[in-house]
Amino acid sequence: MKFKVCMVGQFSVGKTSLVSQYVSSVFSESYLTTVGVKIDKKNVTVGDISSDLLIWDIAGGSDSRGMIGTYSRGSHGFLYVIDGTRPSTIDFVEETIKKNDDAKPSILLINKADLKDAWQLTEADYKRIKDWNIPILETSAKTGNNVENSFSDLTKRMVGLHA
Amino acid sequence: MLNFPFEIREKFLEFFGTEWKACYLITDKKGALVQWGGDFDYFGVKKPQVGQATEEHVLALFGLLDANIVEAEPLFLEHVRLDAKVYADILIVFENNQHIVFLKDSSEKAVQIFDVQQSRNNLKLLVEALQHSVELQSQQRSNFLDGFASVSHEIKNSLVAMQETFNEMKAEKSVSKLKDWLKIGEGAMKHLQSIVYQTMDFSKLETGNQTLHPRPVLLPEFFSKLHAALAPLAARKGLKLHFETFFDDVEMVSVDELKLYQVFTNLVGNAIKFTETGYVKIAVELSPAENGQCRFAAEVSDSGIGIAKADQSRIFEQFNQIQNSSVQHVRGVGLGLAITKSLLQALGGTLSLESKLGIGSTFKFSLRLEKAGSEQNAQPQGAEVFQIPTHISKLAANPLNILMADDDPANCLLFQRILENEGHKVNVVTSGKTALEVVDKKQYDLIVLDRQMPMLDGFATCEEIRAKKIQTKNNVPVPIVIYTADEQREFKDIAANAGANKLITKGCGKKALFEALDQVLRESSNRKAD
Repeated sequence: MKFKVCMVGQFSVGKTSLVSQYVSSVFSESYLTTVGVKIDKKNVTVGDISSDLLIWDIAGGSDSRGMIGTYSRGSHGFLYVIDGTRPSTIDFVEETIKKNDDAKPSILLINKADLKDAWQLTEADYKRIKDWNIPILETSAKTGNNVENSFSDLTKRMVGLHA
Repeated sequence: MLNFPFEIREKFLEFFGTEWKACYLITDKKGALVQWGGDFDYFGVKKPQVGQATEEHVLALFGLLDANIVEAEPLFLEHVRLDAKVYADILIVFENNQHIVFLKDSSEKAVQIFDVQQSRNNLKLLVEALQHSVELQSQQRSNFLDGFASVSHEIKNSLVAMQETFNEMKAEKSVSKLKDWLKIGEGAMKHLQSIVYQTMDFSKLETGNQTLHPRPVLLPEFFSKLHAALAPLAARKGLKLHFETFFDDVEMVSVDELKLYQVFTNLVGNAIKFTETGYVKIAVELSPAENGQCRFAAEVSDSGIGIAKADQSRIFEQFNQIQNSSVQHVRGVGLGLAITKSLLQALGGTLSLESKLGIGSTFKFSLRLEKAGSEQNAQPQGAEVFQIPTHISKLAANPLNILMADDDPANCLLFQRILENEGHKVNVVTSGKTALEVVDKKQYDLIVLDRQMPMLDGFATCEEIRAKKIQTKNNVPVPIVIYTADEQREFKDIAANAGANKLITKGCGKKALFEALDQVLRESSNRKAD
């Protein structure tokens, strides 16, 4: 099976780092912005079903020209990413979820769990993201915490829909 | 010039308007390749074969061709990264039951965008960080002002209570009533002391001016002492105080006893403060861990008012106090839990809370401690009988001539009374400068200098006295003791360098004061013998 997965989130939340950790087990501290979209491929086996994931790492930032919608065409699942140390990154994901009304399997990743002491999320922020009714995982691209789980959980959900 | 068939080239120019490095693929409705052309090598696309799925050649096309049919409009994706240095704009047009896919090089533009985007994003991150810092400082300033107001209020209350008590005492003729007033005044003084010490403790913890002093501690005795101190507080409110301790083969540990004691008194004191009926329970379990260490796990729980979930994250902040009508009468400045948390951090532990409003609270912490061997005997605990040391007691051979320099009249009076009660003569001056004048005119057996005096502080005065080579009647350098209200690590060295025999802390208690003075005088006396 083959699935197209889109990584969506504000700039500098760690989308590229999460993909890099997942696909190549590599992490770099330096921040390099993503231009347009980068596509990576990885095979994942869930249960006894082997699937190819085509992971679309979409540039973060304002989407005034609607490119996220275009990049997302034909996708089977979404990983929305916010940065626990920057509550302002919630707005971008919230806007995108509202525009995406086709209810494809999605997971919200609260990234930078290795910096949990510096997280700024308030109770109100947690309530807001819980209201989106999608599963939430705390991840760290740096330590690898929950990175593998994020992609396998999403794959399970996509396989469940398409099997 | 694009090496495309005429119609294809026209289609390309219709969308892109200009010739560029490009390639094209034409697929049937199902996505199988029908025709291709252009510079595939440049885009890293493997050599196409008729009949193969187009998605095999360009990963980005997966899922898009079907989506394109549904949309029935050209699909344009910009800056799709195909390899490390090559970006392409991809255009998919569906007409005449075929997909025409164009890949046009956009690498140069992508590089330009990268530079602009990188700078813009870095700037935005910097602005976010600055905004956050400003908000934090504003919050801290607000906390500080709230805290300052709270501390000032508590201090003022205590001072007013003490002043009124003293006024009543001046007018009181009955001895028994005088004693009652004394108790009231003492209560107000103790509260004032607690506020000031808490603020000082917190300041030391915040500035990292704390060192650990671990020593062997016998835990059963430690908890027995704690119980003796806290049980009366609980009893006064009619509360049950339970201790449950379980030491699995380990009873003696190496720990900073004072800090651990303070953690428990803060937590239990708080629990008693906020519990009107029921109980306060302390549960401690000590179990062996690896590498000769042990795990010390403690819980302090109560049947008190509990803490609302919304307040729980703020409970450990400095100067934070719960706004709750049932605790309006409870006094304090909101530093206790902040201090406790900092103490535990210094000890290598963390503090957590579980609480339900109206039901009660449980504070938990755990520490990793070193086991203390039996050869490291804990210092004897229990009541100590204080005997005034030889050189200071009334029984000493000769009363001493003591010079004291302190600009605080209350300190002078207190010190003078304590020593004159032992039969010694104390000459008090209020500045270092006057002390220097006086030592030229009269011989003293001991000089005591306050560290903090205006113009010439205790250290400087001591240096000057040493420079003058002032001696006692026994022709030895006069012993000099400097005393200070602040315990700062470097003061001991500074005092020694200034020529002082000893540095002592104000408020150390009569016992410690006399022992320190006795030691200094003994050493001086031994020098004379030499």
